[in-house]
Amino acid sequence: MIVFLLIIFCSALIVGFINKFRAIFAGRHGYRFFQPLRSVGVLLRKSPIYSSNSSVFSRVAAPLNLASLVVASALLPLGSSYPALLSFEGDVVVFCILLSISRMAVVWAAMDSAGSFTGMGAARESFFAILVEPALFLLIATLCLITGHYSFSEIFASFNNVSISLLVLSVVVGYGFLKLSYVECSRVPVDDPRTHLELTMIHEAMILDLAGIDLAFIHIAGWIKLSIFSLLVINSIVPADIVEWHLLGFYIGGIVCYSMVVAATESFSARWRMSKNATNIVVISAVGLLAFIVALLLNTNIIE
Amino acid sequence: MFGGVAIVSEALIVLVALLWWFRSRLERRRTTTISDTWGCGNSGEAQRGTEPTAESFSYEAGVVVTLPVEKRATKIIKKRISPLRIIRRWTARLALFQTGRTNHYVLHIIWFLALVLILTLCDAL
Repeated sequence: MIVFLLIIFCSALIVGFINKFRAIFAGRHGYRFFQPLRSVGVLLRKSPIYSSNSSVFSRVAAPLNLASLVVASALLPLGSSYPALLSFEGDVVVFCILLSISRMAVVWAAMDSAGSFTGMGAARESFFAILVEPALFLLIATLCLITGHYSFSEIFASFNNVSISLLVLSVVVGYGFLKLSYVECSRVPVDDPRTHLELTMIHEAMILDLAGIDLAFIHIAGWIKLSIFSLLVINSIVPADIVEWHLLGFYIGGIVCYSMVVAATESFSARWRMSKNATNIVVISAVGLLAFIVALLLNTNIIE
Repeated sequence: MFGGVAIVSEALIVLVALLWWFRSRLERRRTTTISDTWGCGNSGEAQRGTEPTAESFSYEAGVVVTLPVEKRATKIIKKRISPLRIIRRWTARLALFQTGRTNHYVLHIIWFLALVLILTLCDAL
């Protein structure tokens, strides 16, 4: 239960941290830490606007997107001390399905509004999802192979990366999840949540025709997704030996470090060209495959 | 496992219902506007001509999987064959691995690891 509450609570903080760090790197003061929350508050007070072509799908999409990510966050633990709110054998697959449902819901809304740009955004998002999903499955399969468990709570409770080989593997897996978060959470260099140019938009193009409460739900869902992936990165790197208060300390430190890395990437690197996005996203799957093969070699005792 | 999936499904349905109810309460005193979508200056109707099709979804995948056809004009140089020239020719061929792209280097590592795995499984190592 604690982890679930932490994910929800930290989801609002991560965006604030990223914005603050980005402002620091750019030498600016930046806007207020809780400005994203205030913006969502404004959206919740606005009247809804729907496309004249939209049906009930547009109304269901945003709640479904948010709900699926909230339920997905209930499947994640923090190390060995804080198990997930919901845990069962095979929850790793359910987690991936929930992420897919959340994406599918937004694609529904985009297609349903029949706008000039939303369809383009939906096509791009679907295409990148096809490319990035093997990476997610490979990284999770790597963890399953190493630990011999199929539940996140058991995987991260037994993934003790104190040996050199497992430490290297955990860094590769953590790096894979970090790169995956750029695609899944629509961050630079894959996408740019701040862009105002429709032709370069991916996720933002899909939600162009959403307003008010629906848009607020989509924004909150995006924060929760960031929080989910940051937790996956932290769980992959922090050894299972670390428990209780130390683990919480590592988690908070990890959240700050994750935000700093994301902000640094957004500040110091250019966005990938749209035509090169596919190639670069496939590299993430290659990193996942690399981790999986190393895990396979470790499992067959080829590497000690 | 199926009990777990059932719980997750129920949680999802209940949460969607709760969010729907929450939104209905917020929208109760507000007027819902129905309008045309924003076309960014494109005054054409978003009807048959512009509606998304299955092809628009498969287009980008098609671009990626199409093998790049490179047309290179090759210069045929007829020169005397020497051992040094043969070595140079082969090293030039090996230089194709040195592309300077991270994704290619990751691919080389994967190939190497796969080779090690296959050789080990065949008891060749």
